[in-house]
Amino acid sequence: MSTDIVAKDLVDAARAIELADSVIGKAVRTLAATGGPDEQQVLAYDLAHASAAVETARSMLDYGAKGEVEATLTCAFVADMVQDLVSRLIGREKLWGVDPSVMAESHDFVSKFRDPRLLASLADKPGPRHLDDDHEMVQATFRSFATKMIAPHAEHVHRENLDVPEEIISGLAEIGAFGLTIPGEYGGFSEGGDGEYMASCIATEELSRASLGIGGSLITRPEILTRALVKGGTEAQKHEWLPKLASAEVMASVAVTEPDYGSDVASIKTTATPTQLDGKDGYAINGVKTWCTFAARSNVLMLLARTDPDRAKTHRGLSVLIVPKPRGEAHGFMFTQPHGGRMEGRPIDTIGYRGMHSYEIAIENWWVPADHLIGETAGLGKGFYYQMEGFENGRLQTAARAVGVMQAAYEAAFDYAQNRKSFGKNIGEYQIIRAKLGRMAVVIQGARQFSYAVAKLMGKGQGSMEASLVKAYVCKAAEWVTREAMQIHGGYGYAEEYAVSRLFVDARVLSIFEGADETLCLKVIARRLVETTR
Amino acid sequence: MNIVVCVKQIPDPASPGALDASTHALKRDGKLILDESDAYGVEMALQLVASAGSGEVYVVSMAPNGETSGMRTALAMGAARGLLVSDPALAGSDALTTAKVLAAAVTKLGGADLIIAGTESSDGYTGTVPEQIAECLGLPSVTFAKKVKIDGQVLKVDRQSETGYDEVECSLPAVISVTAGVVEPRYPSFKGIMDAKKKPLDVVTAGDLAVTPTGWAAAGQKIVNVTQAEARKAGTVIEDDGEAFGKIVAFLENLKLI
Repeated sequence: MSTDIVAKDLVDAARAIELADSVIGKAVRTLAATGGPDEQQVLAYDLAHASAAVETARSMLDYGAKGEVEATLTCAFVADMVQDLVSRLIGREKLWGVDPSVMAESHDFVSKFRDPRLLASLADKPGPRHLDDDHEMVQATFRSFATKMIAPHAEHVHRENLDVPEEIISGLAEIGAFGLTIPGEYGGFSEGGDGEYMASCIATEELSRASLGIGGSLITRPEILTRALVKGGTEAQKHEWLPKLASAEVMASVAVTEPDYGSDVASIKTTATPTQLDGKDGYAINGVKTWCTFAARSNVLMLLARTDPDRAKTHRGLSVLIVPKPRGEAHGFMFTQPHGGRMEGRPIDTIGYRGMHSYEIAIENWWVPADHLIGETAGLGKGFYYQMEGFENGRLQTAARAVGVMQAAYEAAFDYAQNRKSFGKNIGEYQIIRAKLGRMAVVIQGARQFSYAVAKLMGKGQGSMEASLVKAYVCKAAEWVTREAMQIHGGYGYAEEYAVSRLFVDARVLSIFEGADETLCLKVIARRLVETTR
Repeated sequence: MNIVVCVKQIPDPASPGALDASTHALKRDGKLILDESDAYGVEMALQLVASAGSGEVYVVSMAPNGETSGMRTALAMGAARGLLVSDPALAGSDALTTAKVLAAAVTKLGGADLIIAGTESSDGYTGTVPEQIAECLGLPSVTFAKKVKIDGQVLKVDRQSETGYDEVECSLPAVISVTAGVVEPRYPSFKGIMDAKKKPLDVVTAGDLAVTPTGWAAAGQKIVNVTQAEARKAGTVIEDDGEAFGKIVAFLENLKLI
């Protein structure tokens, strides 16, 4: 069917976004007046996700102006966003304090772009990315690396629960993947600006397209530590650690979450107590950390600990320490220090996201020198802020990881649909399959373009809220896309021998790690919506 | 040790290509990428210069519309500068004219100790341009190089043959064509990609090089016809009656694989 997109459609799309935004604004004021996110959690959660979809749609408008396919994808995304908003609103109009008829103005637009025939027409039109020449080269480079170096290992590592092959780490180090955000004077080649955020996004998508577990997640942890060091490290610390992170001589894992305090980071109990050892100032660390991904292979833990015993200070009593450790075995490790310090890691088996491995780590009197506390004495009590600096970028990275997983799922489903016959013809010719593929293309391009937009904002020192929004939207979208890709494969999608089954279980982690979806929506997004919507 | 690598920028093989209906030539109006067969030459040049301890790698190319994307990839890999010859009058150039243009481009860069080209491009496959460049420049030419070593002013090449390889020596400067897989091309690094846009990449016309374009009309070669590739035939099914292994061995022997 001819899409016959005209400029008016994009104007209507912009108007639909404006209306949706006004609905959310009104509902947020209702939320603020009726107890806020802590009291009205379901409303707050719905508004956070609706807002994430609206901002994704808004970021698509520039993209839509670049061509007919781009415009069709954009309008289809906006229509999808409106449908999602209305479905969240219906039956809860009083709770939201919104008259649903406000969206009626966009009804014809939504009808046009939710037409199954239109979605089906987009099945094989995922749209160009519109990258500049440099970023196209970044994409081509990482696509080639991931295809040759990562993809051949992806299934085997997943099925056998093996480790990330070392040649992937060394190969990424040679390309410079770990030095992208490290300034030149510290062994990296960051030049500031949005280019490096974009490059990081693009690289992460391509690596994740090959494998979330052994490719797409390798850059995230070093970047989180890098951001914390750049933000709060002393000059000596930057010169000591950043060159090693850039070259992958030091690989990092993040030790923040605790068994009793998952998303409630400010309440963590692990302590770092000033302790002298052989006449040297330092800290003795005691506590239990969990979900420390990559902790066996890593050379250091970026560990958040309470350095102020006054628990009333909550997050203001926390500091970040760089904790060196030997490399351990994937099936578990136990290290001791001569004075009696002890660190024991127990692997947590997971249904997906294999290769990196995650651990619960019990730490007893593990001693580190005083200069391993980021910022040293000036960094005391600032650990929460330093790690948040890294986590914001981590959210953008996670969105890029989700886009990569979705892209792989779409390609697998598309390819399968072209070759699987049912009732006399390829299933890729049936409207129901084509409409699924079309909506996948719409969602993926929307997610990708929003992640690019957030990267540009973060390059300007902005985009904190948008990083949370993109993480919330894209990670949840990945669940739907991988679910539908698996569904298109029929029974074979449920078989481990088809990669789409790996993509499905891998996608589930995206809404859980790097800020659980519900916590992110209630504690970050909804709170910020209330603060900024008066 | 200065080395010039002749590189071709071609339409991305991952995208479906199209032929011009009248000339039967590949359409080149979109984005062009570095021919993978030339990435081997760039890598070999970078390794030879690194071994020599000094010198630079330059890349030259001929392409329509001022397209430089493929050359930027070579610069991102580590080449120091590039020279592109882009001129509408060169459309339809045959292999010999292409060789004349590239030879003139090499001369404009001040010559080189060694000139490297791929054995043949991935989209044209004439396989004659490197030798023609050597003739234009009056230099010795060694084809099908699978291993290259420079010993003072002597070039030592293991030259691929049907039965193995020949050990060939010649004096420098010289022109060599390298086979695919001769080295493992490096991936452009982030730093390389960022630095590439700062490296000099000059664009000149045929007139700047004092080369007379021949164009379609006067080209010494013509594509007279194009036909569809033969459809792949169905494979052979061998039923295992207990002796299937013998048939498989015979099949592989017939293909000279064992």
